[in-house]
Amino acid sequence: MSTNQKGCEFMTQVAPADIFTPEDINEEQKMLKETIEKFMKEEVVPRADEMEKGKIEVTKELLKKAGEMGMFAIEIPKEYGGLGLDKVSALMVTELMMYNASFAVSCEAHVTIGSYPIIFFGTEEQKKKYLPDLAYAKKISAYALTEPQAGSDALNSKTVATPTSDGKYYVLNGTKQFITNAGIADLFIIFAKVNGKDFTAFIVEEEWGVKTGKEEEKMGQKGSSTRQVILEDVKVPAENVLGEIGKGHKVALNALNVGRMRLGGSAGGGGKLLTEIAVKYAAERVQFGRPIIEFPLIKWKIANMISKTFAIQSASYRTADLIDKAQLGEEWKAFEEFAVEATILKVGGSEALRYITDEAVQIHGGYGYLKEYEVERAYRDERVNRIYEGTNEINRLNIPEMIIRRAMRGRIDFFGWVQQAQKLIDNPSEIKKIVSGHTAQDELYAIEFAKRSLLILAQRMFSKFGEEIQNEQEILAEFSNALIGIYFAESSVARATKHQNKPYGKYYENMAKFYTHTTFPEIVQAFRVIESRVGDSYGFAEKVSSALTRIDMISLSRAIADETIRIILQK
Amino acid sequence: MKILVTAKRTPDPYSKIKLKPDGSGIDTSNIKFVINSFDEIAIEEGLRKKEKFGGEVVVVSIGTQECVEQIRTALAMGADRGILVDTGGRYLDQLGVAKILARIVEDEKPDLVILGKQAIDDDANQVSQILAELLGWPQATFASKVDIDLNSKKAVVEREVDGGIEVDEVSLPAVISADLRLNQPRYASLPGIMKARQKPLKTVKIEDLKVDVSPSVEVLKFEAPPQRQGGKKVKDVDELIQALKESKVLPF
Ligand SMILES: Cc1cc2nc3c(=O)[nH]c(=O)nc-3n(C[C@H](O)[C@H](O)[C@H](O)COP(=O)(O)OP(=O)(O)OC[C@H]3O[C@@H](n4cnc5c(N)ncnc54)[C@H](O)[C@@H]3O)c2cc1C
Repeated sequence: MSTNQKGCEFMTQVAPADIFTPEDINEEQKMLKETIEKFMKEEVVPRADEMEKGKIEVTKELLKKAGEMGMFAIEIPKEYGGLGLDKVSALMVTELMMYNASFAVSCEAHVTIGSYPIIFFGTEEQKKKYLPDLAYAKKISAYALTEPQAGSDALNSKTVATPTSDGKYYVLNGTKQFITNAGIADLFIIFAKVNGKDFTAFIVEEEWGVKTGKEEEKMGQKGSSTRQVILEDVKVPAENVLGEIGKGHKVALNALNVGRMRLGGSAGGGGKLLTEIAVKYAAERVQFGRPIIEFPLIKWKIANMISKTFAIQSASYRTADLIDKAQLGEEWKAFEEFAVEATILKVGGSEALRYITDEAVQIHGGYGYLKEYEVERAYRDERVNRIYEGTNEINRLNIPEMIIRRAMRGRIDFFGWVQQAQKLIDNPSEIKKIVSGHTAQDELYAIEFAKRSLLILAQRMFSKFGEEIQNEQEILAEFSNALIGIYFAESSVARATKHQNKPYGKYYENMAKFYTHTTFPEIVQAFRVIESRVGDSYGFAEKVSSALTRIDMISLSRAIADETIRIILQK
Repeated sequence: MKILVTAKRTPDPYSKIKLKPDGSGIDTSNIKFVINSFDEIAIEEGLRKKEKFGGEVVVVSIGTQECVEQIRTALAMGADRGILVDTGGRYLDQLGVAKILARIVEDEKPDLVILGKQAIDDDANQVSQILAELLGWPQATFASKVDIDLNSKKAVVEREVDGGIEVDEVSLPAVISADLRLNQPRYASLPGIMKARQKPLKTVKIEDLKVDVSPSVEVLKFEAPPQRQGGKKVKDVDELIQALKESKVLPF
């Protein structure tokens, strides 16, 4: 059994060597993976140009096909016609959808934010009525929260639901903004304020009079439908209230927990594909009489791209498995338990994918700037990952806020953790002890040192500013940056440790080390910024900085790149 | 109607094939294996006939335990049960394979056997023909369309031949081999994958079949095709003619 069974506990434990990793999927999951990969390559990839031209009917057709295959039934419970499979399988599928980002986002909107609200909070009747159709894309769903004046401030909704005098209906009026799948959806999860007061979720069928605006002309993900949803006196039966009146935020936020976790999958899948594309290109492109892949600077990029991908996948499979194993009764509670980890995946994953995509373009040189090359589209497609599902700024603020809230409510023993951290920091040989047995021990030591130091610093930060901490956005965000680096790095080390005796053990160890060393400066930077505000009597930034023993990064980079190239090119 | 189909385990056509250094075979350590593409078409045809007429589709794979993967895929596509003939990895020639299939057919007594016209690894294109001969059944090879009339117990099979389409009629039971354009195989559905686990899969040891499969064909060596030489750019027609002469493409 894993030792890390509760949300946030990674902050006080060493990453377990029994971490669940992508290599641990079972035979059935492998078959699932192969089938879906085949579908993506044969059905979706050839339609990319049409989708890129904004032909959302193609996207719809593909969604229907994927639905017939059962791609969206994965997470729908068996009682409602679904397959009731685990979150790891779902994550794996999300990764594969990234063969086309427009297709991926349309699927994700349908499943994670479009279907999960009903899985989580639907009544028995609602589940029976809608889930079987959603499972096989007989109906396509959309999630409409954002409004023109309510973006990050999502609860500031002006959409009003007015009960009819007989109490049998609600009449909805308002405008929703940026709604994915709007142009192809049969069903909308819509948030509105009952009588302009109580924020509430509704399940609204398109044919009840939902109108949509024109297709937005977007920078990327052009094959996905994004429109305004316009509600003019749309009559919704009272039995279509989703969850409780006045508890719409609960529906909205818990659905986003799923979406955020799943963005880790998009980032990992995207990272892997882009690394492959870049390596294949670099092997063909000759300059100065050599394929550019032989140049050390190109190898450095490849080492970075693959190590970041390795880190995202390590962290996201770990998290999906934790959610699978959480036994908290209601399903939304399992996602909620790991909301901090999911937010880490969202921010860390999308930032890592930004880097990877950018380098994929760079490796293509001028050709990467041409529409003819796939990376050009990937570059535009990637951008929005840092904007939707809560902007990365809002999510960075959310992480410490959630932790503080859990500490205050006694859900986590934050002060106990700080005390324990203090003991370890005072006695570093103890840290050496707890990391022994892991591969990349020196790196894990530094991660643990940083992690415990961060706890102590956070406690000082929280107590210094109290309620005013809200206005200290810079240090809250830096706290998140450090925590993201730590979670990704330690997940990489744990995965490498688990597979240390496999033929690819050394490769994994190298990636875990490389990732830690390239990320560590950002962690140190976070300490510097926080200390500049909170006071640096502990001198953490310097101590953390020197906790990581310098290694030969160049040899590491070349070894990682060479092995990556070998693996990709012999495919 | 009962239909027997085959699922040979072959390298994924998209994988890059490398030979073992000693030329004794291909290096399988890093390649993905799939159902032979033509067998996949045969399986699909079997499933469509079953969906039309009812009955059962039995899938056979001959090889090592690893072929379970291919059988499960066929079961996930919709086949009803699987038979693995475990060869323990020994080499079989096409006659050996056909003899094993003939044994299985004797046991199973299907109304129809559909196989891929050839396997994409050795491209032999022999098994269906030999099998029909061994069984004494009619055969229709390279089928691009199969219509079955259960009343008259006949299959009308179209074959694409040079310059047109040949239409053959065979009485059942028969052996049919599938060509590329017979159909477009379906994807295994996700519910299908989940159900595949519960479907029966029987393993038979090759020794227990008591057929003589000692090969009459011996594989001597595998060799990679010669590497393609890079092209050459010429300035004008004169240079082109000169180059063609030098490479002996032009006879004068
Ligand atoms: C392609 C696409 C698809 C989308 N799909 C959906 C969908 O299906 N359903 C749905 O409901 N929504 C969807 N959205 C909306 C998306 O979730 C919002 O765009 C997002 O929440 C940000 O809101 P906004 O655009 O109004 O930006 P704003 O909230 O105006 O933010 C502007 C900037 O200010 C920053 N900011 C805002 N508040 C703060 C603060 N308190 N502190 C510090 N910085 C702050 C933000 O981080 C951002 O950088 C989609 C958006 C896009 C682009």
